[in-house]
Amino acid sequence: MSAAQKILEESGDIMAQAEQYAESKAEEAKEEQRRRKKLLIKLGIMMTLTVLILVLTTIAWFASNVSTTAGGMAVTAGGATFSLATKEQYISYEDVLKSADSTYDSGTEKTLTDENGDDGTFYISGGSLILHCVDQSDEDEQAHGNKDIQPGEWDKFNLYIVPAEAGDLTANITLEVIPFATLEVYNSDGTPKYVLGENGEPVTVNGKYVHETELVRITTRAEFVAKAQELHNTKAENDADEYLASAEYIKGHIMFFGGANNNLDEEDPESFYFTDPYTDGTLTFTGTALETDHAYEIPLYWMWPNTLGQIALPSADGRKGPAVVSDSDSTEKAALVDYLKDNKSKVFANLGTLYEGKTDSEINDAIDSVAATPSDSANFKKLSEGYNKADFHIGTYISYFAVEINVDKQA
Amino acid sequence: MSKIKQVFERIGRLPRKTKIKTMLILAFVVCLTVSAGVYAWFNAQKKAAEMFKVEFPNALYINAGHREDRVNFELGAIDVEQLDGYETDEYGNIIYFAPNTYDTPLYLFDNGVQQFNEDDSPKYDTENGVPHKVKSKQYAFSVSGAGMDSFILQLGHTTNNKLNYRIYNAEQFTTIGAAITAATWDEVNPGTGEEEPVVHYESIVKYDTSANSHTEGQPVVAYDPFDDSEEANPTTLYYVKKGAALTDLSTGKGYLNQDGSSKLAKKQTSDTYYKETYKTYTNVQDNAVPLYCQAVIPDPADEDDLIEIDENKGFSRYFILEVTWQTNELGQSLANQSEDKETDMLYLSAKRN
Repeated sequence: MSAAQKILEESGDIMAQAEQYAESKAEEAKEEQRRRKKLLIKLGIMMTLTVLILVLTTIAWFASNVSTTAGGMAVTAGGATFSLATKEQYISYEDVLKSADSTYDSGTEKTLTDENGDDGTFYISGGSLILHCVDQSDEDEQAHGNKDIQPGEWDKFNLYIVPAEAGDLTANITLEVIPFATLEVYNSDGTPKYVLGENGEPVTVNGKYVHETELVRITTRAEFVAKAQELHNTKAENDADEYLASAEYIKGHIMFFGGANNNLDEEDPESFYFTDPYTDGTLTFTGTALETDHAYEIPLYWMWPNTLGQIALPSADGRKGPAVVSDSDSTEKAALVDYLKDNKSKVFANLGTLYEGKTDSEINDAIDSVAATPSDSANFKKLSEGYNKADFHIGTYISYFAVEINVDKQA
Repeated sequence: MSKIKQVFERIGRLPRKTKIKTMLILAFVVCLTVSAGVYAWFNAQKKAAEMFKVEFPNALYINAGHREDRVNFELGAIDVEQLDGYETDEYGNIIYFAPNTYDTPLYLFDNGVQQFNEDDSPKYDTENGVPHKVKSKQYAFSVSGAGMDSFILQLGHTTNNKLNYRIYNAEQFTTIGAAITAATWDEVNPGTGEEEPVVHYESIVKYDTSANSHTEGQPVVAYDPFDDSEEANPTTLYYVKKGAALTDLSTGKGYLNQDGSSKLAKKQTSDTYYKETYKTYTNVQDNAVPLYCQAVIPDPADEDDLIEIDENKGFSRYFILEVTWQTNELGQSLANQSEDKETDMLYLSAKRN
């Protein structure tokens, strides 16, 4: 081989080597690139995720807390929230309600359109709303809205729902009766605690000292007794069972309805009755093609029937006062009778004494026989006595009650 | 950047199991965060509420004076002499009382020495003392309750004794002075022919309170609107008649089943009240058939008569039941004609109007 051929061979090798080296370097660079790419992708995903979380949280914050008036923040998505609104100028025992639950507010005035297309003045709240009512008294008092309730009374809730987005809306509503007692406060030595004036001396009203009192929500026996002990009120402590029983009675005696036939004709008590009893304390509101800035009424009535006959008797024969539901509506009547049977310990007092030794189903039979035609007068007298006794207990031990309406939008 | 790279490299270097655990935990945390946001977004609950006050039940109680237990309302026995003439002591002498007192006798003293009669009965200062007319026996009772503005007061009684029953409105006083002022009104003095204020001691009923007996009946309402335990608990109260009689047997006012002008109840089976009690049975003694009377409180004819209520809609009204002897057509008392002992039964009741 000549030297030129050798040189060519060698340069060929070198070139091959150089190519190999370049290739491997290129591969390394590519690998480096690939690695970098992977890292970038991973980073990218992480960043996107973080941003997404932040955005979602922010949206949730804005969307759930409407009182943060982010005007113009039209964060509308399927399933946006709503507000509750009420009508009329006066409020019943606003200060008592606020002292029991300070999260309630009386709403801000706003002009909204009702279902009929008329504009009206409403009071709207994004949180917990105190419902308004019409003037209750014709006297020139300060507290125009205060409602003092006795058996036989009824009224309507001025409850409206204002959607935040146009479209359909379904809401589940639950009703709860919350009883309160007013307990007198005593000192630890048993002497009454009087309300003191600014000078530290007891205040006198009409020449008498004013006994200090405290509003107590009645929940469980243990809590009530603890509260009574805190106020050194031994009588309340000893009567704890009566207070608790009365709390159950008011829950059983206040009934809710979806409609009312308001033709109260003095000559014909039959002309007045309620419809749509909500015997389990729940109802559903369904609205289709709703518009924003419109207030849609949720028809809701409450009644405290005066006598058992208004609930259970099949006809006006022997009944005092208007029927709760129409006698001719057998479904609704049957629903009320079922309500009595399912809640008898909340509706009737002293069942153990009135029906001593009787089983639960025997008392149910008694209730059925009162509602049958002809009505069983012996059982009617007994059960009436139980009903009236429960009313008396309510009047004696319960001083206030609140009706709380929870509106949950169906997702 | 490099730090993040380091973290990832670290994770990459971890043993497989730990790597899986870490990734799982991270994924879990992310899911939780996202779901919390979504939940808050979807869950929109609003509340509305209204507050009501429960009124006291319509309660009505009849009690003795000072709104004490009914046990303290005693009619007791009536002496024939007690309902006639003037108040006398145990010796039968008319007592002269110190003026402006309820029952303090004014004995006669001569130079500090008390004077007595021959039979050892004390002498009274007839010049300065005042005799108290006793024409009737009076009993105070109260009707109290809550949650109503009108009730009917009812009295049913037998007629064995020749007695007149009257019910009056009464006012309660804690001092004798105030009671005397209320019991003083003008009368024509037969001697001078002029009107002058006269204290009608016989219109005053003294009531001795019983300790620990001031109740309203059972069950006790949450507030006792007339609880006066903060004030000095009075040991004696005075009730004074006010106004005209609400029911009066002598005139028949308020009576529902009086037989004509006689002081007996109708005994016909056609009479509502007789029929209700006896049905068709007619073999009943005349005086056993009860007389019924009632009065609506407050008097519907009197605009100013109102049941005063406190802020808890509770009220309390006092009444005096006055028992006197019936008189004949000449106005003479029939006291002397009754020598036999007889018993009458009285029923007082109150009903919501």
